Amino acid sequence: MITTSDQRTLHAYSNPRNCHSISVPLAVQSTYLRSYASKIGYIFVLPRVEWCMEGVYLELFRLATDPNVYQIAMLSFHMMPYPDALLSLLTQCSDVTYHFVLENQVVPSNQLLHHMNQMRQPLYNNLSPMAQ
Amino acid sequence: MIEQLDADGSYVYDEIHRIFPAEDFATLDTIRNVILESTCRFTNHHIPSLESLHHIINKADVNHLRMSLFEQINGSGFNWPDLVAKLAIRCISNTLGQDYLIQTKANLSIQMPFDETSVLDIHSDCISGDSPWQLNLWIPLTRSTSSASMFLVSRSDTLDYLRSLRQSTHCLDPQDEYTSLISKLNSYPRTFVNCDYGQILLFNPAVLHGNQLNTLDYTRFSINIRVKSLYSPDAVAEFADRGYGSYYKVARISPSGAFSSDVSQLLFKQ
Repeated sequence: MITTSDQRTLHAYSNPRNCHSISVPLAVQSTYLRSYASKIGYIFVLPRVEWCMEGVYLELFRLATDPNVYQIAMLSFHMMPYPDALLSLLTQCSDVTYHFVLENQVVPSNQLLHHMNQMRQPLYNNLSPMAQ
Repeated sequence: MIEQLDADGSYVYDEIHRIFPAEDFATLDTIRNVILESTCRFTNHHIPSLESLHHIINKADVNHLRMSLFEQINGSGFNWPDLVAKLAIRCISNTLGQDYLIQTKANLSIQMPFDETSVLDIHSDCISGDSPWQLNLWIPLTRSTSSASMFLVSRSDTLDYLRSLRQSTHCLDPQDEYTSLISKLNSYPRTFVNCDYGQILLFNPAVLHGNQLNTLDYTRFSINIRVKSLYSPDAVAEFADRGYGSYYKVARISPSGAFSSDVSQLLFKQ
């Protein structure tokens, strides 16, 4: 049974690697996420820290597939695996809402793939012929 | 995990971790009493002991208390190089030598009964680029037993897991690979650290460790702070926030170490 308390609990995820030129010390990530949880009135859960080895998203996978986790907050969507089979997997195997705090975006897992594609789409590819 | 009683009365786990009596009980009592007084002031309640915290605060508020205490113990009233020297200088010097660094900020953990927000799942500190050459001084301010304590995984199982993880970085099927890794992670035996108040643990946080939901009837408080030989390497240069200056400062340097450093500066510095 899902309780209101479960749904109002924000599980933090932090990544120590340089993700698309975003490299933020873990202490700063933790402080920022804690402040975000407080601002939106959620109970903050200590961050799950990703492994520093490139290409590993095991801790994110563990968090997303934990049946007691409904809300995951991270600094930026750049910390998500992309393009990667794991991203598709995250959209399918979990009922989680993702909070990307820098971008001020809250995205349910079933819209994650679409959202990531939109966010990563270079703007110049969307220019219409009239604009040229 | 093999536990041995050493000649000096300390317990050695897995040959690399050590539980020993605080070398100065009065210092430990002072730290505990300051934390207790601050907790009572913060909550506007009197409790006889930190172990009773869960009677006066709920889990939604425990983070606010933790942060308030964290700021206090990292304020000007706490000189951690001196405090740590009083509590553990013999044990640290025997392990790391006389010249060592100390983490710039001490951490405080509060684990109330049935508070899932305080669970720090199984991990290694090297996950985030911490140096594997550091040690963690874990100082309980209450009893610390079974699920109210932390657990350690053996170094052989830790290495087994790291090897598997290294192989998984090129996997083609993340679901199978990650599911298998999680299953492996959960299969390793976990040894809970049992400490009475007055005992301190010096452990290598590169091993897998963590805590679980506290199902006992008391709250555990502990402080942890990392120490590292002045002459040991960082993990990798790219994690600058885990290196000397940001993460560590000099705690103690012997006359011999200071002299060698001066010679090095005069002769070899470019």
